[in-house]
Amino acid sequence: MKKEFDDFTDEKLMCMVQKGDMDAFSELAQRYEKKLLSFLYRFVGSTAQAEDLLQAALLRVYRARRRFKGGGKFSTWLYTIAANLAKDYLRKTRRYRFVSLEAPVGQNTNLIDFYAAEGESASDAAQRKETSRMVRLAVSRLPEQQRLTVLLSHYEDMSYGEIARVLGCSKGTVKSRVFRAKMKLKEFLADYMAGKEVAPSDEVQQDDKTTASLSGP
Amino acid sequence: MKCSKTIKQLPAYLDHELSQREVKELERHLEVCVFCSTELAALRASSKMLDAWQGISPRQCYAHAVVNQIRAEERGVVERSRIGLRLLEGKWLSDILRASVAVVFLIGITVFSFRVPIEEGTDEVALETDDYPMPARELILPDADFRYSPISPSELGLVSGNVGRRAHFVKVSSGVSPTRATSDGHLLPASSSFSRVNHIYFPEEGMRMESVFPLELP
Repeated sequence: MKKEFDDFTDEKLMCMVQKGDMDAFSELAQRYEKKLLSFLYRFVGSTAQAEDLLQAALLRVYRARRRFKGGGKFSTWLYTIAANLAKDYLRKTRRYRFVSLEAPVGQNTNLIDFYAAEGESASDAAQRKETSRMVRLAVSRLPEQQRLTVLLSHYEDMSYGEIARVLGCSKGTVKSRVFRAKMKLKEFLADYMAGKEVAPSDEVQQDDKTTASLSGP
Repeated sequence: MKCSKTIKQLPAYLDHELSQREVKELERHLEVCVFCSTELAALRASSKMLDAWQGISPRQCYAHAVVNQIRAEERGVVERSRIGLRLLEGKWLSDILRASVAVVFLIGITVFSFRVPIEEGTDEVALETDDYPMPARELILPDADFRYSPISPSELGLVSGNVGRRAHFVKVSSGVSPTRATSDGHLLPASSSFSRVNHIYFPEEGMRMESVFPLELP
């Protein structure tokens, strides 16, 4: 019989996981699956790697369950694990990193960006797709720590205090990283608005051909 | 308040990370400074543009896949300990004794019709005999701590992916050795002797991966 977990906080569920409750773990994993996948995808730039890292992160959460401290927030702990795995992954693969030259940047488009959202006209959708492409490029050009900080702040809606805990730095450091990242993004995107193309970075993979054929709304 | 200080505060202002006092001070400056107001508008616009980059949806339920993998692993641990394989771990066992225990184990699992078939002449034991049609793809084993590949556990069930210090045993049913692929697509032949595996590539669609665990248990 499936237990009803709707009213349970993440931390309460994690406490149950520590006592060996697999259903509680399953519930937690489902709660964060989509968010975490999107976060990893934005950080490493590849759907396939994000999916692998998501599973690796969930496995690590389970295996390290006893190390979760009851007083802390589960989401902060989860993102710390996921961010560390993703950073390790980028570090290990940096030597072999490549950007596909065959596929022009314009083709590296996630299908999800392509479909018009509800109530959106085709031209609006095309515009959003183009903006999305530029945002991806702009974010990929940020140094790793700034990129992480912006992703956590803008897309994961974390406070500077939470980001500081995830990244193991001070709130002041987060604030200055956000400042530097946002100023750079503003410049990149202003260039784009002015009609200049932003060169892709070699920091993040841009290989979403698989996504285009497999994911859809 | 100077413009240079105001500019530095603008992103935090938009993120609601300033104290009330700081907000008041900043807003007083913005009322009289066209330069900083323009800068704020530009930052707001670029922040809004970030929203155009939408997230992605999982192609399958990874939560279930991971839960199934953990359950399968935990079952595997129980099965192994039940048949006394842990004896193999003992440091007090001589190599000969260890080898004979392995032989007894191999005979034992045949006699008791345990699901594990034995491949003669190899040091591999297939854990699962069912076929696993497997699309050509790159497997990434991101972490040396993982005993099993975190990749597609739902498709593959108990799969190899033994990364780290111990040797890695993989067998592909067609008899073709799996190849290791670096992320630039360069394929290297794999062997059971390399100590660290990050990438395994199954070049042909529908290839099956059968085997998997080393007799030298941890």
